Amino acid sequence: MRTLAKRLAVLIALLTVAVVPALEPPAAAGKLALWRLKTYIPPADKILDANAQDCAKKAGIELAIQTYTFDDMWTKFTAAIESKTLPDIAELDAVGPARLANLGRLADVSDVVAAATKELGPILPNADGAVKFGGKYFAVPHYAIPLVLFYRSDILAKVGAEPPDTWEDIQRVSEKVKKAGVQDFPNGFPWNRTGDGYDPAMSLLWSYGAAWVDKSGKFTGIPKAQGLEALRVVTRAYLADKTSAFDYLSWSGATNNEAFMAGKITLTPNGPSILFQEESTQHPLLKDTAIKLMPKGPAGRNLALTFVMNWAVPTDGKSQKEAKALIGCVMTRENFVKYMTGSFRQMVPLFAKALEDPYWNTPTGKIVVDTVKQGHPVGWPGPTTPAAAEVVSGNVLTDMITRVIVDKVTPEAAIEEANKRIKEIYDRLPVK
Amino acid sequence: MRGATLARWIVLAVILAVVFVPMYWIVVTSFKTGRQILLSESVYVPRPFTLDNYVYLFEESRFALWIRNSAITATASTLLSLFIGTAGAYSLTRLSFPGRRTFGGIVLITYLVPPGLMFIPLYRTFIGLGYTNSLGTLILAYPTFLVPFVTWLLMGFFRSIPRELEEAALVDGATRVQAMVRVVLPLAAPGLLAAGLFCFTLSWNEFLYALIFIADDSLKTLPVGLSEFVVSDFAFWGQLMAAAALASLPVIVVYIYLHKYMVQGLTAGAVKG
Amino acid sequence: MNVLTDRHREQLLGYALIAPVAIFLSGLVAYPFLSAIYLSLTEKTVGYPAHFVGLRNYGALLESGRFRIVAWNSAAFTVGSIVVKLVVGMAMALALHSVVRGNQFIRGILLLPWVIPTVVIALTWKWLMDLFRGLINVALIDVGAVTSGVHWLGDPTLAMVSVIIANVWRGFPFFGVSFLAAMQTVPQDLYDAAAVDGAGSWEKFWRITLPSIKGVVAVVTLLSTIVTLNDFNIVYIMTRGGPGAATHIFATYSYELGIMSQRWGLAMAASMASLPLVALLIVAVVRYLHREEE
Repeated sequence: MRTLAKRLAVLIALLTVAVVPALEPPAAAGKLALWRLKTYIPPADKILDANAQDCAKKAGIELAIQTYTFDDMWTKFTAAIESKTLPDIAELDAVGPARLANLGRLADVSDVVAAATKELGPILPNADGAVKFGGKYFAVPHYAIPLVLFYRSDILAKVGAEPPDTWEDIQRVSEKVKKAGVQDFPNGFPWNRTGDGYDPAMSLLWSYGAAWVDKSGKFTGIPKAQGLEALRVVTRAYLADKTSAFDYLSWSGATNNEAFMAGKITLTPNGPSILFQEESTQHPLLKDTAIKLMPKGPAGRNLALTFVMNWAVPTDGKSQKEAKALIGCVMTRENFVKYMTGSFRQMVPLFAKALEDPYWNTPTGKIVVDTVKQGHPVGWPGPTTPAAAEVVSGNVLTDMITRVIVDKVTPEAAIEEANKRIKEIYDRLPVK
Repeated sequence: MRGATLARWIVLAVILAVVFVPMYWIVVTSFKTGRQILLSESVYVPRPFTLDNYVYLFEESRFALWIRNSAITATASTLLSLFIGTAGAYSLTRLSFPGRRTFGGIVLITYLVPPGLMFIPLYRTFIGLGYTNSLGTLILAYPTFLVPFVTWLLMGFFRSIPRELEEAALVDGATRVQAMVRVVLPLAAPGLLAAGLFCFTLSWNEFLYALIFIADDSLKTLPVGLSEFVVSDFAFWGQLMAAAALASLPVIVVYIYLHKYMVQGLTAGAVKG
Repeated sequence: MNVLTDRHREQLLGYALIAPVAIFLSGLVAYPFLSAIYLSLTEKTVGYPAHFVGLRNYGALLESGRFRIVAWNSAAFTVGSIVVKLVVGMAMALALHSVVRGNQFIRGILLLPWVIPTVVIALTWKWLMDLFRGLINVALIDVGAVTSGVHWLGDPTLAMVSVIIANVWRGFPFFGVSFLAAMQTVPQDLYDAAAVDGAGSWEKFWRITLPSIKGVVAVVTLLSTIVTLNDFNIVYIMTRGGPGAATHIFATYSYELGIMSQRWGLAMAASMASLPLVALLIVAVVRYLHREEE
């Protein structure tokens, strides 16, 4: 026992000595910190990092790049907001600029946008709502990953169905596929807590004229009649037709990709990532995978553009001038096109000239660009406000849908509940 | 009689099978290629068999770094908790001073404050202290749920050691502290070991605090690093399972070696505590 | 110079040794806990300063349909997990009790689930239960038990069962090992005497084993209940509380309120909800143990 005790003591001493150096927080002197999204396209990420480091070297600064995944993004940012340790350069999502600008925590980057406009053409008008507040730009749009409708062209041909153009079409086509015995649950629309859920949810409501705000961004509430119509159309798949499986509701962002590629579903909304995955694994279904614009409704085709990444300069950092210069360098024509063309057609620019690049002149490229050109920001028909941001991040819309599907609440009650929640949010975060 | 024995073996077999299946699935998946997993080819046995996922872990991802961070955090938290807890347990069981009983009760109650509740206020406390985004933050945070358990466990252990032994040492001229170190601690070694293993395991596995308190990529611990393999539209199951296998290996090895003591210590604490 | 009496010295040493615990727990447990209580009485959106609103958060939660579902789920998850862990743990202990050969080795293997990181366990069970490609469904279809995949994580009721399964898998060894150790302290004479009286296995278990290990059963159950009631990882990773809110429990709900909706005051109020239950349990178990001691 004594020798054991002695050995343990020595071991403990050694470990303590080894541990102490690790306790210091990493030194940040003279360094710029950049936080960016870790995407599913590692080669594109590498190009971005190379561009950024190149720019940093030219400017004589040290750059430390940190990554976050889509899932832990707000965990990380919440912590940083509260501890006032936001990085010098932050790649924010579609609602980040609205939230942070409203807190006064972002620097005015109108000059950077002006410079980028010279390099890449003017910003798409529909992209302003997410980054321009009070006439000033508080973020520089980096890229968008639009949601398109994926479908199995072979299955549709087999059951004699045309590619669906409206929300009603989607239900009809799914029913046909199921009745023909091709698949049990062909309708892969997941009303879950990811972009694959809340993006179509917004497109759905907007296509039925059921937005929850007016043009100025002030609360109006989801109109009852239109809301009911929209709910009726999509809950059918789960409640009546049984063309969707309940599992789809708890899907992670990846599961609908996997289900599609496993040949289990016929229709699903997704970013172009499915094409990327099929191409990189020489997937047998590649030839049968087709895309088209997300569906339209009685009020038109009002698509949501919710997966947008934007560069911003939080005011926590002490080197805002250098930070802005770095962003400007990363967004020069040369650097950005290098990144864009290395992205396997996944990262779509929001600047007009870059969109006209021949890189996008393919059948799938055109659909993807079209979606970005048409897409509306979170909070349409108004601008992106912190309140609109919270409606999305609080999953109010998808919750409304799942309340009907899972909890068997009446659509009327679900809409009322959702409106109550939305109103409460707008009361708490008033629109200026 | 035979019926009972048969029943026992059946129960054991079922439990062993249930324990085995997930571990088998981790190992099997870790040796499959991405395409195989995507297309559900050859589900039960990896064919083709590949080491790519393991190679990726060390070449492309920062797996080794995560292990280092977890090892440092777990070790330091364990040591800190053992030190604080042992001192406290000894004081509460062997020494008498006013307020002892109340304090003992309070220590045990703090065990019941759940981390799921504490993550925000604890984070705000660290922000107030200006000490976040460091492994040290975790090393200070983990004992908040480790110390109460260590204290409780060792209290049970100390109580089971006869006072006469210490008193004999005192009579021989030793001070209280010397008596504690030379007589009581060695006898409580199984308890210390059990508590230490328990602390190490809980720290090694901790996810929520590590996710929130640490921002730097280079300071990520293993559980947080594992969650990186799910990248919104892509779940890299092969690499994830390879990482899972390797992440579990150190703790498994330690346990197989020392589980005898761990059980001893745990049950002494539970039975007598 | 012996200014201090022995008793004083003992008291000083007592305080000195308890000081680290006291400082640590008051600074990093008591203080944050009290601040949590205060936070729960404020409206605090991330980035904005907190302002006092009294019991409004609690009122909002009580009115919220979602919160009631969360409370119910937490109860179901906890009770379900504990009951199954009790049964399986007891079965494991009984089975190993009279096995002589390989006892240590088997017990070591059976401890593994408790040792493997919870994150790994949650991810693995999620992967095992994948609708189309998980091992469970693939095997079930291959042996013809079902014709299409079971919706382990998709059906609202089954999803709760699935997270309970993962929780049980992780936690039953703790029960089993503790019960086993306690059983092994029961004197053999009691069993021999009972055998002479003609008692069968079941009676031996019910009349001798169980009463003898009651204390350990109570303590282990209490500890596990508290841990399970506030479990975060398993549900968060396997279902994120879905489908809908079918598996949403206090910890995941609080996280969602705090991080996704950025409302810390409300998140704290939601976490506090589990405390009255915990307090009741503790009081009940402590009283029970005290009674047993007499």
